[in-house]
Amino acid sequence: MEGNNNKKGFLHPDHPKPITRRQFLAQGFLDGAGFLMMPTVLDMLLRAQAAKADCGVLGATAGCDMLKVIILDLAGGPQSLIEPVTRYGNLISAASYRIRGEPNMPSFSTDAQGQYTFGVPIKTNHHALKAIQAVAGVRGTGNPYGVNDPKILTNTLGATICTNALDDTHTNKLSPANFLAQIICGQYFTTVLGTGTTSRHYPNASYYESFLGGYTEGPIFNAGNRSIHVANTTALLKSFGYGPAFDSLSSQQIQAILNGIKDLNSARARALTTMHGVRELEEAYNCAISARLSLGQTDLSQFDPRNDPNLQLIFGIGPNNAPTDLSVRTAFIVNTVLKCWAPVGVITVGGCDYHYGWRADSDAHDYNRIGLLIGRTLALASRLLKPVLIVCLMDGSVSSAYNSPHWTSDAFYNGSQAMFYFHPGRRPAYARASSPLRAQLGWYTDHPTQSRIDPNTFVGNSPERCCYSIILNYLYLNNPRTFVDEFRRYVPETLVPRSEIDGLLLFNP
Amino acid sequence: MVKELKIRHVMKQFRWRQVLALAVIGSFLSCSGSRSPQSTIITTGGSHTVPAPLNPVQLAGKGGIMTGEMFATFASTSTGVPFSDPDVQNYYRLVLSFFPTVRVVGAITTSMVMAYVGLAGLYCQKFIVLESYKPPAERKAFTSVNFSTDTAVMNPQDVIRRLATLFWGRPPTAEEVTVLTKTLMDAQAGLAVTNAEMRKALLVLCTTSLASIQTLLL
Repeated sequence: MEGNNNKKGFLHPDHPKPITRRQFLAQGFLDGAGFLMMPTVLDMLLRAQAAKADCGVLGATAGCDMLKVIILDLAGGPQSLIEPVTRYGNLISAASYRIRGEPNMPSFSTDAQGQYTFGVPIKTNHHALKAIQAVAGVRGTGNPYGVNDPKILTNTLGATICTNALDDTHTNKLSPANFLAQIICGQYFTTVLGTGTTSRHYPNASYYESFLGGYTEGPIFNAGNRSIHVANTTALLKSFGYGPAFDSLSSQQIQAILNGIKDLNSARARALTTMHGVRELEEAYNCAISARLSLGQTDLSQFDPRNDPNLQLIFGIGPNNAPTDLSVRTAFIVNTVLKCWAPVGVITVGGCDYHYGWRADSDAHDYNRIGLLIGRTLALASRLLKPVLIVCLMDGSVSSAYNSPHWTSDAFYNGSQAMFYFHPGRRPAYARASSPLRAQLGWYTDHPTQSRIDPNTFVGNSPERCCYSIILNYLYLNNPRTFVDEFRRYVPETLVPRSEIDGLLLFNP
Repeated sequence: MVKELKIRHVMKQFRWRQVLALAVIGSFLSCSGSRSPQSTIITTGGSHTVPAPLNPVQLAGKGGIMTGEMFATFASTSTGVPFSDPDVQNYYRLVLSFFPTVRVVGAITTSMVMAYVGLAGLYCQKFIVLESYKPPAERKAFTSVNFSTDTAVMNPQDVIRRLATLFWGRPPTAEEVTVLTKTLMDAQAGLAVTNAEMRKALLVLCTTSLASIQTLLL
């Protein structure tokens, strides 16, 4: 299936001609967008080095001791990655599966001990799972992805959140990207901006663009917390150089410029004592310059994923790949995040609006675009010995005609958000191990033929609460002693009461 | 007065009303990374609002820096190097996503600062070439420079004063003159006093002046 990138767009007869960026994404016309949350690519690295210099910014291990997060923004409504259960932990009925593309009750993947793969029910025939297993080297013939790392299966747990996302609505407030960037970078934000349209990444179009990099929004928005569109890795890395005007200058002269700017800034800040914020501006500006000075003449090509042996192996890329290749860009994002050079990576997987019909097409997409990406991310995390949390967001789901494997329409109530937590040293454990819903927040109704997301649970009808739950779990994984206090820095009691918190935990650190 | 004109010029071109509206809610990010207990967040779009640490009255009059578009237009106007210059366009597009798009300084990132510095350097490089073709009396900043001799001939103090007036809209303060003089000395230390090195020194002075917050601050 590798190689079938399913790049064509789909014009659905029951959908309007795509106008918004979200619509383009969902129907596969703007596929493969990848974003890194601000502070910029390499900023973490730069500021960590600067900390050793003179601006006392983030610690030398800035953010590097925190869990890494990759968000897969599955634009549209794919089928669930992880099968949901009812409030008592039971699988939904066979009859319910008949309108979920499964004429027969599906089987679920288990390991040698008879436990669910990833600790959660995933359909044996789910092609995303097949791809992950192929990367792990336990499925398929030979060694198709050159990794053969069963640890990505044994050391990963999954969980799902049963939330009715707003179907085909760009104002879904699901994404934790902005929160996470703030938490990881430990920065001070007060800026406010609402949602809206921006043409930043698509200057001549009116596509909707999330400030978070994907197409789903988050409960908070922050103009200062920007995303970078990773469209061309070479161009992106080049942009961290000094620019063409400095090619003729010596490092001594470049240093003179940067130090001169710093001194001028300081002089101006001293002169403008009555203007609010100038001192902060000067500090921030000079800190950024110090960060760049600390990098010196470092060869930025070392950050090119095509030159990295691990990435060559896992993502199947090499120097001959174009810097605009999807695999190169996604490898860049995953690698950048796992190596602490950016706090959060958001990879938008377009073409997930599956209700165009043919199951084979959506299966190929599940395999090539979703499963391989998850598997490769896990494989790289394993090789780099980094724990990672993969958050898979979708703004809807699909349903089939009765007894048909083919998708026929959108069905937001059939979906669920998914998370995968990998630890390189051990198999993680669930926080509520004895609960039948240990791997799930919210639940599906117990309806005999049409089981669907129960909207009456804490997260059932609220994308915002789904986002808050992800943040809560992220903080818990980072520090189970202080996570409540940390959580309260971002989400007040009125939004997530203390009484709900224990029941929202999924993975133990 | 010149500075005021500069600001008016930029304001006129960039729908200042919109910019101002955002500036009221704008704020700065300290690079210190400190987790201040005041670091609450305003949320939007939901049914809740967490109070911001500064109210609009406190935020009024806060400084902010030019957006990328403002900066490019200002640099173009000041130096006479057209924004449509292919090299400028190529570099501007390369770093476009790093610039703030509104006059709100949320996070000053390294990439953002380097984008200003890189673009300033490019404008200055071309500005020096433009000036070198003009008779001294018609030049904007380098009237005291002799571009035609093998050895460097220029009056650094005059260059500094003219660059400051051009980019900052005012003469430099004594402290700023000292800073730029030191910058020039640092850049030229140990180098031969040739015309080529002089051009590099001019690039250093021009870029330093153009990319500092003296220019960027609005």
